[in-house]
Amino acid sequence: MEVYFDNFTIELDPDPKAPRTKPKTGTTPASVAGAGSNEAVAGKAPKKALEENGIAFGPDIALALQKALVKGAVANTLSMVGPGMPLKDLESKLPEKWTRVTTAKEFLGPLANPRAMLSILPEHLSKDKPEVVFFVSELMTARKPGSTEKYDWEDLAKISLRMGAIPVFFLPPAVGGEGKDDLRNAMIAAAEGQFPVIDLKSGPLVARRSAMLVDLLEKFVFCRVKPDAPATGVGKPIGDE
Amino acid sequence: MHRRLAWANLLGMNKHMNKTMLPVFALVCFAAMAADDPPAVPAKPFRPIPDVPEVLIYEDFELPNPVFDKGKILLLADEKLIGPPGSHCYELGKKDDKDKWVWTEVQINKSPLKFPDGMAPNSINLQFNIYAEDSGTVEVTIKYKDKDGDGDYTDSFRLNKEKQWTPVTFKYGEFRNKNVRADAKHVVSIIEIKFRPRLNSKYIRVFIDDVIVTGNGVLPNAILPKIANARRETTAIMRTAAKDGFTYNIRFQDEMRSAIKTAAKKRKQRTVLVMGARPADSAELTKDLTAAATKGKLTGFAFVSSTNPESAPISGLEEMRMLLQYNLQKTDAELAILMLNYSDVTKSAKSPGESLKVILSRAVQSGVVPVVCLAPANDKAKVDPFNNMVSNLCIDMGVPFIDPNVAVKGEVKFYEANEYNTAGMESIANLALTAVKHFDTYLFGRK
Repeated sequence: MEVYFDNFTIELDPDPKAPRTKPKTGTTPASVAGAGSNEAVAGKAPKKALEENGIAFGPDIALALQKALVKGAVANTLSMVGPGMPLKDLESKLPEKWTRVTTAKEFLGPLANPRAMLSILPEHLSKDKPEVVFFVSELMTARKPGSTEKYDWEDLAKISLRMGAIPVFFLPPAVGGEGKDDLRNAMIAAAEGQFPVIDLKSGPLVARRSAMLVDLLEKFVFCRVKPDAPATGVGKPIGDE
Repeated sequence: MHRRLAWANLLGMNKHMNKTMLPVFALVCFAAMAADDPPAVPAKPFRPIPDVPEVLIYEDFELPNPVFDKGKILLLADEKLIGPPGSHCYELGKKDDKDKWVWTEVQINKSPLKFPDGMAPNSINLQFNIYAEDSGTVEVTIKYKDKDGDGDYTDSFRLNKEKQWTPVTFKYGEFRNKNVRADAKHVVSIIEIKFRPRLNSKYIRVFIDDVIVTGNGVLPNAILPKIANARRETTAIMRTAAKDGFTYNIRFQDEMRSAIKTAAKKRKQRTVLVMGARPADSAELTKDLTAAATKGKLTGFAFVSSTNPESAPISGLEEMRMLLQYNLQKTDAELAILMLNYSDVTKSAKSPGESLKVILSRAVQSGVVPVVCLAPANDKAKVDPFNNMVSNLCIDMGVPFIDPNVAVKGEVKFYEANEYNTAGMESIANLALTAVKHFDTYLFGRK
């Protein structure tokens, strides 16, 4: 039997036996002892490029998030919304020590396009106060982005930051070809180097990437964990407890 | 089928058909079958005034018209030109030319109009009024397309009268370019109206007004009373910022009605969302609007202040962009008054025009009528260019706007730290209520 691979990627899984650092509760960015000011910590954030790591993050993003973020969210809670939800690969394994805030059905599925979410997201963020919001786009879509698509995503991110939540965009994979990457490009333009983005892939990789990003946020934005602490991974699959 | 047999019988073919006759019979049958289908109704040609189909073009410049290019629309009174108060004309733009021509390009290809479209060239007349500071030559060039390619022809008129309105008429059939003459099969793409001054040493100012093109051999002057009659309704509902403090016209009405019709959601009648210039203004304007409505015995209107999810008031372009959809969802309003503030002018984000465009698009696509309230212009030098940009954007997008500076007449007593004070807000509330009432009557067709 012959087996073929395409875009084969191998990523290091964090050592499950490595000691974990318990995150502090509360959302106020607080310097980890000995790590310097929060800004200095943000400046040490490792640079992750979308093309190489499937994640866009770095010192500039960490600093921008620290500046823009408003206090008041519930620590270690995250919300998953968007037209790409439900996404089993992402939902089944949450980042370790993080819990998911339940969302109404309006936030999930094709009807949860960015324009529709602009109407309902503020209420959700105000009520449930998640610390991170995953905006998951469609893996493949027949939806043609409108003229205000970029601004719709941008405003969702701005609303999130105003309400104390860090927005994370999960981008549809690059396809290539005229007009086929419009949605992806609109989301990248909306993030404009101010918010983290993740390349959406099927399989367990997407859960690992989200865990890696949340770990980076804990270390370099919330500054609750020492920057040199071992990386946390994905938690146990939901339902295995 | 019966008809096909009848045809065949008529030609005596059903019994005596041979190979030579077969193609003839097939053709006849085909023609008969085609006749069985319902006849295709030709699309009605575009006419700017449907009630007066002889009129191919009518432009009095009272509304912005992007088809006219290179020049600009001006208020007659501003130029000290004779005409009805509040009416407009069009100043020809400078052509980069050694002879100091001024001109306009009427881009027929950007309008739905098609002409001559089979009409006899001699039955088409073009007329406009012209006012020039000095005498010179009026030249009209018509560019056309036909199956053999593009071409143009010209006709001219010597204008001897200066500094007075003079009607100039051209007959389409008399346009020439060497041996080429106007043809019924041509399709006009552009009409250039040019003026060459007597002395080619300097540019002179030239204005045109009441551009009329008529077909069917009707003379423009003869049809003017009919046009005036047909346009009476249009004129009655029209409001201009300079005269009335807010804008409303038939184009906006048609576009908004279509947006409301296509929007998925039905909105609450007579519910108006209010987004103030400063956080405290939303509540104050809402209160003033409610009081003015009670005073004016307008019942059934609900004015609602915009807030964030924590019930704190919001203001400014950035918050408007972020939270308009949320507020529209929460209130179900059918109208949204969006007040711009001085900070939007001075400290606004990178591109306020882009942000406003996004806000207006979202509102219109939600089936909500956005009513933009221009920024307070106490600091004219800074605010006027911003307000011009906003009003032009509103005109382009067919969105109404209120110029509160008309209500407060630019008097210092209505401003405080370059925003409106309490007295200013009251004046704006009265003006906004007049606008809301006008929309209610004409746009929503309620009594």
